[in-house]
Amino acid sequence: MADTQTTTRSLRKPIGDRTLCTLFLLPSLGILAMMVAYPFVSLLINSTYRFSALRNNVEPVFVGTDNFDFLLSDPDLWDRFVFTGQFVVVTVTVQFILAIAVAYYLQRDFKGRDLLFTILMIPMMLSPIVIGFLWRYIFNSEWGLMNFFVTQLGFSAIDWLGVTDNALVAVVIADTWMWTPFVILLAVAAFRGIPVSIQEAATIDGASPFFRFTRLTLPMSAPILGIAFLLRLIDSFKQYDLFFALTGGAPGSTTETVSFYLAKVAFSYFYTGEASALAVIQLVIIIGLSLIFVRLLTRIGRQRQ
Amino acid sequence: MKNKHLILPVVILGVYTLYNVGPLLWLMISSLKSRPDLFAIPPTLVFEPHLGGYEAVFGVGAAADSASSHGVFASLINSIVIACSGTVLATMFGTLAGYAASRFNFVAKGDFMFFVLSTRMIPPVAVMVFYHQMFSSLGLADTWTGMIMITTFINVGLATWIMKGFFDGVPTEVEAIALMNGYSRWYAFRHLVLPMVRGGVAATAGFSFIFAWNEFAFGSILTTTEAKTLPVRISAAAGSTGIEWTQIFAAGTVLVIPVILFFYLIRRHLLMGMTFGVLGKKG
Amino acid sequence: MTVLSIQDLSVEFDDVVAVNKLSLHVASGELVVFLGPSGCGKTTLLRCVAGLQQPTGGQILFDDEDVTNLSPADRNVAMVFQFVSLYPHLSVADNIAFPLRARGVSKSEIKASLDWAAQFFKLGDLMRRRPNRLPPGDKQKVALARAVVRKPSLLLLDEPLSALDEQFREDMRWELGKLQAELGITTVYVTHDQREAMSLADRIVLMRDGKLIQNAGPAEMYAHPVDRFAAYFIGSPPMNFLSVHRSGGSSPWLVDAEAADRPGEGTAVPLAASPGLAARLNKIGRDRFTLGVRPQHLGIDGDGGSRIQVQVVNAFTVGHDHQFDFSVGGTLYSGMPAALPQIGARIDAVMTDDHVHLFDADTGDRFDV
Repeated sequence: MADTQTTTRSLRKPIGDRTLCTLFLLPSLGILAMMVAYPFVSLLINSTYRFSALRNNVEPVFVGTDNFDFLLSDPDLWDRFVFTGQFVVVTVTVQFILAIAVAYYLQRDFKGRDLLFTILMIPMMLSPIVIGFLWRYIFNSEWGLMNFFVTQLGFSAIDWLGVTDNALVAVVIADTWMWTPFVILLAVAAFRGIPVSIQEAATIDGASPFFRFTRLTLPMSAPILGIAFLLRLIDSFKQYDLFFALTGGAPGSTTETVSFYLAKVAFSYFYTGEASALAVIQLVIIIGLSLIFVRLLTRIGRQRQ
Repeated sequence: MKNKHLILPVVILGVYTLYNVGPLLWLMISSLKSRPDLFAIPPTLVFEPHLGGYEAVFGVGAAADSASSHGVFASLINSIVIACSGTVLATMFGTLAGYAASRFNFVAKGDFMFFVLSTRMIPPVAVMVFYHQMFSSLGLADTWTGMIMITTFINVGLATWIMKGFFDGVPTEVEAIALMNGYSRWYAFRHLVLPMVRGGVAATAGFSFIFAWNEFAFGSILTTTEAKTLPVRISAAAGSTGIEWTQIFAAGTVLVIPVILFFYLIRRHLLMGMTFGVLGKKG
Repeated sequence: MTVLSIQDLSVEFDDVVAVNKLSLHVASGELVVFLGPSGCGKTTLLRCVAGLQQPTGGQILFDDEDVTNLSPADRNVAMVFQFVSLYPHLSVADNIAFPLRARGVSKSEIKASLDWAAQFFKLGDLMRRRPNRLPPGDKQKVALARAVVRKPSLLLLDEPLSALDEQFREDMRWELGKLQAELGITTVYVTHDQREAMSLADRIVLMRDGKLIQNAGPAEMYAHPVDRFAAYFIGSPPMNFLSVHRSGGSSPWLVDAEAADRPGEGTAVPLAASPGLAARLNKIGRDRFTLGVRPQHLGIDGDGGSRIQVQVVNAFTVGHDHQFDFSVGGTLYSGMPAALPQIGARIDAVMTDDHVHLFDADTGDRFDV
């Protein structure tokens, strides 16, 4: 009996590591090729045609780089880029200042720290669309909670969502609410990754807490903070859901981000060719930022070895 | 002297915690308010609970039959089916690919990992211009199948990175010993390594579920009636006839509860799992 | 040059007493080593001196000034850690200058100090480099330079050599000796390695379970260990401990190893005590005690010493030293003879009487006779 079993086992050729590796990678690779690589190539091609997905009976016309020329000379698009840029700069800056202050006090252990930490992480995991509506409710100029506090403090009520600059502040407050936890998470990981003995050595050397923080903690956390910075940059650059729910692009179209504008061109006007071109532009910017991100990541990997 | 040192930390952490927790509590409180209470000036904290929004979401009671709440319950079902299926597939694919990336060297491994990661970076709206066409021509638009493909795709990259991090934490000797004893690598993976990273699989599934559950951008364009998810249905509650706040807040609370539950369950591994997802390594 | 006094110092964590009412004194310019097994409280004690750990009782004095409640920065102490704690983003020179900059020392003074450090520690070529790629020995040298560059009143070293290879350790040991000779800084050095302690220390403070066991110079500690633990911890290979008890039979003393209390396990071996040892044993007047003898003082077929007849179970040579092992009552003992015996041979293991230590069988305390 035992003999037969051994024979059958040795007859059946075991799967080699190479084959197994390929089989393991295949499903992920397959779905990513279908959902990322194929669309990207197809977008590149479509961006050189003038056509609309709505009118299938009209033959696409090859227009070369016309779509790009048109987009890049379109002042509307530049306005969207400028607004998106403003939003990105303000929101990321605010989030970093806030997150580093909070993370500084969250890096040491105290009673209830883990619970507090867990609670603080919740917002980044919530549905942006729900968050958008929630803040839209809070920012309502008549019955919103925000103006209730503003008037209680003795100021006059603010028209949060009806004025562009106020709307920007409102979106930044909401986006900061949602994404500061992400920066806190990485900042705490970075701060806690610094060996205790390094901090102790500096304490003994007579360095003040401020001196230690600016000369040791911050420079040594720079790579991970850099990663957090890039991810936040990319994420806020492509922000769509929050604006959709909170401002809807209003007042006018002054709070439309690039993503928002792209959705409009593609699915309201159905200028599919032009939308493809804009999608390509957006992707190129994101890929550029991602490449920096990967470079940072590999540098960290090397440092840790 | 000691108390003086505590003022600044307590103020900073306290104010931030208020800012952090307040709106969420406000969401849950508001979800129990009736229309008049919602618009009361000044806002009220004491009121008679009103379950109309929840009735609409769960398809029970009088509110469920009103025209304004049409399809809300169906969208909850859609959300559950689509998020769960996508989670299972993404976790499975990500676990396999994460193992391969952790244990084997293959051509262009670095490029592969970057490619996998890039899915996190892609602006949904940009690729949607293409998906819209592809889904229409393949008959996938507004179907569960199509949306499950989406929820799988948006999570596969993250799942691969997180699982690679967890597999990296398992010594290769585990398989080496099994292989020397005549077991196959598949056996070692399935019966030795996989049980050791159970926690990682759970965390990966949790994160995947959350992202699938919250997904809005793709759903808003690629579904119209049949496969509409809850976040998409919520956005429709802000229609031309005014905003159905009771529904939005009830549905919002329903969307938020699983996330809080998940956080509670994995609170011990939270920091590690989340850091893996970003840095791909132990934090 | 600072005198360090520790008085009745205690450190208690939740339910563990890490340091238990410990008092000691370190003279100016002295190099004292805190020695003991891991968990004995030596590092905790050092951290108290540095100010990184707040004691729960007792006092620490620098030159009669009570520093117990001073912050580390206000104590003017320097510390070198077990795991290199250099700042990876700073060059070697900036690392060494760090404590000076933290105190706002002027640029010209910093430059002078850097020049001195580069010259003293022979760091010339390394000064511009980042510490990450340096060999471990050089890293620790930089850490040492960073510690002493601001002329601290007290230099504290927490197992600085234990993460290094033997070769680096020798270099560092030499470097440390040179430093001690030139600057004469009062130095406290923590280690679990008795060889390191013996070769470096002016004085050794031996600790166990948070208590001071013995406080003596290396030679004294080797020759007169205060109890069985001190005898075992100092010296390599470790001291043999034979359980000896008085018998009513033909031979007055029997060796029965640790199994003495458990009759039937192994056979007791007669101890032929020399007249000198017999006199000491009678003077103690106990029926049971522990006899300690270092392998270096246990040979074969010498004259005059006390002896036991045993069978060689193992014999080998390490470099110049021969060693043989024998077993009594299931316990293995070693000796270092002048010539290597045959394995299996029955021989007389002979002790050098002057180096036989006697301990209380129950408490482990030394009998000074």
